[in-house]
Amino acid sequence: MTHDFCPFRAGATNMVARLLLLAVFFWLAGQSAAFSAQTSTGNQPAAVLARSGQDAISSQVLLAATGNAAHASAAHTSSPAQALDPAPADSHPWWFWPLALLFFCFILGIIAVMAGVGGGVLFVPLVSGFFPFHLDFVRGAGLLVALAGALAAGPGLLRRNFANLRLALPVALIASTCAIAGAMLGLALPTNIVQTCLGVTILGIAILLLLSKNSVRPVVTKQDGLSLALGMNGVFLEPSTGEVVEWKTHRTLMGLLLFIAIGIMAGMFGLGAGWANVPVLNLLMGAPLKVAVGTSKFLLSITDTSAAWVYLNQGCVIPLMAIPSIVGLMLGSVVGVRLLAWAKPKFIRYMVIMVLFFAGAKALLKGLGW
Amino acid sequence: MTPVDLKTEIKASPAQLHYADTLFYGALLGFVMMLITYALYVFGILEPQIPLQELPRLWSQDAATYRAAGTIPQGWGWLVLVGKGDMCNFIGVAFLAALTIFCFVQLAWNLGKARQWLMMSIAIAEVLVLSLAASGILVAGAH
Repeated sequence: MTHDFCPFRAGATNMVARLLLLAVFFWLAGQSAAFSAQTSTGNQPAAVLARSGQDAISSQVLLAATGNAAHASAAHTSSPAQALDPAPADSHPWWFWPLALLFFCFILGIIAVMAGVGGGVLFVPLVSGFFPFHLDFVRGAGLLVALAGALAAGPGLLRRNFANLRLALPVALIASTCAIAGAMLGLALPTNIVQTCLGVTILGIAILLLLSKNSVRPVVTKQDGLSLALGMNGVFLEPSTGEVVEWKTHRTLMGLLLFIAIGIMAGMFGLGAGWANVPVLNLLMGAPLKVAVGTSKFLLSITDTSAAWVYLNQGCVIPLMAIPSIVGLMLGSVVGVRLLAWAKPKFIRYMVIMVLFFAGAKALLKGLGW
Repeated sequence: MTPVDLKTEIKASPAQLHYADTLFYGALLGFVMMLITYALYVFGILEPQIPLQELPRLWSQDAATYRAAGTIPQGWGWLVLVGKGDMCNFIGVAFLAALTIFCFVQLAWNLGKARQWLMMSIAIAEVLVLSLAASGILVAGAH
């Protein structure tokens, strides 16, 4: 199907995309300032005293809901939530942040599709930096967001042979095993260290996106022995030209070793890993861009599954925030695909790189306690 | 490759197509389950383990504090509380997370039938890795 190009409509769509990005910027800045102000207010003794009374009541409600009478009577003196709670009281009703997250993720979904990045890489730094959720829950939700997107895209990619099982299987085994190790490491380390490392990683991803120039069809003169043994070659039909494209990989061992680091980072930060999968499969191993992108998306469904289980088993998934994130991002992706036909993705991509620099710096500063 | 080989290679293998079908219908079912259980939760049809009003105070703290405050068990312990509004959401989430394991079991079987022993071994190893992650054994060491 072809689209007739209409400059007015394309201009309007670009304008909409720019306005969306500007709105996100201002909203993030506003929320960040408001939350910082709230945190400093919450540290005042009067506020703490006023809140401790509410805590005692709410802990009673909480324990009564579990039906544990013995614990409920003990909570008169001190409840676990009260003893461990240094957090500022949030004046918003319970539905405010999940609803804000739904709209935010909807816009994020549109932008992510236009910029050609996965949702997870934007979700984790932005939500951990500008929403009141702890990094544990943001990483858990980030993995589920990336997983849901990969599960939705997987069947189409496999049927069209853009995701290749022979290429994906060995890579997935390495990345998913290391993602488990990364997830356990990320949950064992103190939050400020993980936040600092996240900031550095996001800044690195922004630089990678800025500098990397993917190759549509890399030239692979000779398939190496490992690639040959694993059958890392194939054929796909290029729908735009009707051309049959044969491909094979090289530098396979180096590629497989890099997936150790990719898996660890995916699990540790809950980022998804499309930003790293594609350059390694395409630029290093020599898979055509379409196969690299398709296989990378499919790979996320395996890598993120293993890490997501670790987070899920540790209680790092709050359904109230995770499910609006998944739904918002998926709806945004559907709209983004439709807008993609008219918009100029290059501008959006540069804006996303700027947002990543901003979010990375914010995460770094937050991790360092500045 | 001969033109006949190319024609065969362009098409996804039967094992790949089976994987795609299972993934498609499984993901659809998982998303529907997730939306239904979420509606039951937020509209108050099922009473939650942690009252909704409590969450803004808990979600800014780490997972250990959240678990302690809500007496939420680790691993598969949520199954005991599955009648609660918030815990029942894990049915859809766990189903989606388990989908890849089902797909890989089916893939290993199909690869075995096609006598692709190396790929079948990798698929079986993947099932073991994902099952280990899903088992809840790997919960030690978290803060």
